[in-house]
Amino acid sequence: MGTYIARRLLLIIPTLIGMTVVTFAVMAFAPGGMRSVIVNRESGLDPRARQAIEKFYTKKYGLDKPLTVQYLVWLNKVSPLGVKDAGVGWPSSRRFGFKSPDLGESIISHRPVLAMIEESLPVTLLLNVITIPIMIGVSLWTGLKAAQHRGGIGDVVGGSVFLGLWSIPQIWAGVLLVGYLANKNFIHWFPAAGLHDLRDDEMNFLPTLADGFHRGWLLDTGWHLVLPVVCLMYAGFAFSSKLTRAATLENMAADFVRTARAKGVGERQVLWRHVLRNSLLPLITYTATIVPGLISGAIIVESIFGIPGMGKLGVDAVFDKDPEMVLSTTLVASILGLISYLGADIAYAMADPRVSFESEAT
Amino acid sequence: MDNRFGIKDFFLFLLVGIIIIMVALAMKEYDRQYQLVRDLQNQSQDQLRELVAIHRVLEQGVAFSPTTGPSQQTAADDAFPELRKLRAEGKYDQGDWLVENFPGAVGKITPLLAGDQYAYIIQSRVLESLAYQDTQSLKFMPLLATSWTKTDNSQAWRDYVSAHSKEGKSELDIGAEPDCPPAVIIDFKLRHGVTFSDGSPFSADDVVFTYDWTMNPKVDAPRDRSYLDKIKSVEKVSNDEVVFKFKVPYYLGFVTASGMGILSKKFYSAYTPEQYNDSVGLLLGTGPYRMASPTDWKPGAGKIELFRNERYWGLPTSFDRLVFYQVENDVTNLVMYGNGELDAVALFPEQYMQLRTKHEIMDRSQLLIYQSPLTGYSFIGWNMQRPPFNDRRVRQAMTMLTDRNGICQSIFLGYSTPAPGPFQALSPQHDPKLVDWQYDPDKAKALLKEVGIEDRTGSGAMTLADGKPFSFKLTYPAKSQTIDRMMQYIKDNYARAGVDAELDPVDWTVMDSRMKSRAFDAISLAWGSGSMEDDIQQMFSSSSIRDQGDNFVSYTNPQFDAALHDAEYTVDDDKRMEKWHLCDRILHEDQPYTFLENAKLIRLFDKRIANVKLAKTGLNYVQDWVMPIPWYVPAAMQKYK
Repeated sequence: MGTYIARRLLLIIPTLIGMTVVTFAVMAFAPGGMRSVIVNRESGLDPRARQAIEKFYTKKYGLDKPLTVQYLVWLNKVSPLGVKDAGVGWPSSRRFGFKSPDLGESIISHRPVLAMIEESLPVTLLLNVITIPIMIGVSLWTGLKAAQHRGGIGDVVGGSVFLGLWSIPQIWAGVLLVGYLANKNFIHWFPAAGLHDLRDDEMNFLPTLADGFHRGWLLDTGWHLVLPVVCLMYAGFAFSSKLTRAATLENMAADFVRTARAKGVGERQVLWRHVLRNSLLPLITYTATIVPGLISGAIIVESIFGIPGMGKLGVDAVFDKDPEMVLSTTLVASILGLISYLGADIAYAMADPRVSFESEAT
Repeated sequence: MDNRFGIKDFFLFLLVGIIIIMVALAMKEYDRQYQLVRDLQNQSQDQLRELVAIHRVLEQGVAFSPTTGPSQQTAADDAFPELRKLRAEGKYDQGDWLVENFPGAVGKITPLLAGDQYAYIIQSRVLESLAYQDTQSLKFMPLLATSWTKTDNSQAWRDYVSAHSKEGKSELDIGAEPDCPPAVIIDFKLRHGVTFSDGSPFSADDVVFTYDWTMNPKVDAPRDRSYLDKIKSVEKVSNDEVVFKFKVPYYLGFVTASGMGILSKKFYSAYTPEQYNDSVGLLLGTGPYRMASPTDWKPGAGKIELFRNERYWGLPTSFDRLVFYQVENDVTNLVMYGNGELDAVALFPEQYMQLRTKHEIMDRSQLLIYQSPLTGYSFIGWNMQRPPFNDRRVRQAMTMLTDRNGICQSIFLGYSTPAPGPFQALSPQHDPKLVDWQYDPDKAKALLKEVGIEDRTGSGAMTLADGKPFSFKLTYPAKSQTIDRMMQYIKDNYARAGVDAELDPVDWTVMDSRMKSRAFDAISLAWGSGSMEDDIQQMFSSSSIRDQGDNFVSYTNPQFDAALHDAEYTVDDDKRMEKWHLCDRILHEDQPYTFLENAKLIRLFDKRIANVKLAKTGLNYVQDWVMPIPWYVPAAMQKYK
């Protein structure tokens, strides 16, 4: 298994280079080229400043250099092994060697890409750390129950409700949630936007009951997260629940389940110990495919609820053709994607004893 | 079966997960506490420094002089006469917060580096300039300067320039020569007793440092450098006096000099240009508000807060705190306003039409609909490198074929007016005697016939003199439904006259590259305006055609160039306005653009915000200008205590 993992990790490098080459090529050969938006965000349409800004930043970011040079410069920046400033990294006496990787700088906001990702990623991670377990947990339970009572009212109604939810566009759902559940004129149960209350700096960390109930910073954050999490989550139930249901049904008819039942194993134990474990495999595959997408953010939810996450960062960078930002966010999302696929492979082995990497390794 | 993942393992993973989450939460809480402790530490250090300074002064003995200190100002150098009047009437209460929304994220607030409007709004509350423009009288009021004198030295400058002019050398280059006399000299007397929010005193050194720092090529400040490039030098005369000298008699000279947001030399000189360029939240000034920390602000919190600067030298400002959310979505923005979470909201005409029947919102709101000379105009630019648009009569005819009143009524629902030219009707630069072009298809067709464009086949379709159909591409940024509808409306206008306009909505990147390469027939766009007196050199001067300049329609008229130069280099305000009027008349006749419309702004304000009024600038408070906030909340209506 160790050899297998090492081989997969090594394969990540050429895969990443391939992904970034394609991304860069798409950006470079798209109509308009790479330089045209450099002043867009900053100067707007103030004619006095446009030219000065464009001239300055074109030179600063080397956007007048050939495209291959621009790509290679970025690749050298992100690589831990490459050309470096004298006296930096190891060996410090040579211009070529190990150095700390640098994700480059955004030509639109003139800030290091790493710093911008560091600001956005925790918010996105927080959303996903809450969303994914709830989504998987609910889907697993409903999928199992639906399979157990196949054709029953719970199966039919639950399946229909989930399919109905799946077909609601996220932007519409988000606007409805804000418009009704966060609106003083309807049901004002939740805040409309942001992750914290206006007075969060004055709050205790935990809820207190002294002088009446004060929800505190932690509960306040959770309260602010309810609507975004619901908006991120609702559409995912249908697919993962149906997936679990199908896999459970297939396993419930399998020989090993019949054998277990014949041995006198209780129905509850058959379901949770034998069927569930084998039914997890398709769900693991599905989770591995959605994790990179969720990590790279949810532009709609972020825009509606005013949450500064990775989605907006990535989408804005694409629209602005911000080369180093696009390449670096692609790189981060690709690394996360490839690692989650690898994680899924390892999880297969943990969930299913029949899966083994030994024969491939030897 | 060794690698089976059992329930026991699951609970183990769960336990580890819970521990990790608890540790993360504990770290977060420690971080909050650390921030609080640091703020307290900074405050106590500041207080200690001030106490030591006071102690030293007391030890040396203090002479009470009637001529020192901000409280001894005269009526002439009072920065807040209107607000003092309000205060005397028992109004302009202090307290409460003003909560607004930026429909976009702010990435940097460090002065000079941040260029977006939202960052300017933040900076304009923290930094101050030497003077500010009153929104009602449009007069310049003293702020960090108490008075100033302007010396028009342009005759001596002109004599030198004419004696030393050479091929390839611009007036700006000659003006920069050490021997060339400055064209304009502005001498500012600075205010005593002003301190930055860290307690350090303000002096002429800070003004000189601000200029030098901006002009340092290592600082990422190309925008501000482009504004200051006509200044020859900024010299300290004494601690309380600075002199600005100009390379050319530039008409925006005073605006430029008096409008610089003054940086603290002590605070900012501690950073190298590289450190400064890498920063996001270095913001410290003499203004009525301060950041929680002048160094530690970071983007991504979802809101930005400004706190009252208790060390402010001037009339204490009204609001204790200014809060700016950063929510992009219009619906969320409106819901927040409806909930009372926001104190003001800007509306599109369609939104206002829907909202005006909602009494629960309108009853608690003040509605202001106004036009501001600062909002700019939309236009169609005709590429004069391509026939038939190189003929003035064709451009005039196209303007007469464009039903601009119809656009204002149908597309903007009456919340815009036809743009008379590059200067708004409210602007003193606009010639009030000019009669705007009217929608007149018959007159337009007659003009087109003069240049050989007419309906030759009887089908109603116009053809050029060579028999080809009169057809062109109308390129515009594909960014909003309103623009789409406006372009469709214009296409229909032209189609009715037999002119075929093919709509060409493109991404901004494509649009920009076409503008630079002049690869278009007609282009529709909007120009903004930064100041009350607009600079049109970049769009219409023939010198801006080369090097992919912003005169992308390639408009050339020597008479206009001369008139523009004359206007730009006239220091006297009244004389200059006459020259702007001439520019306006020439552009009116030449129609390099069909000037489409000037939008009106529709804003709702919570009724608790008092003294929200219309002014010559639109509203009496222009957020991205350095100026005192005239709004306040009466004590009885204050909700954030």
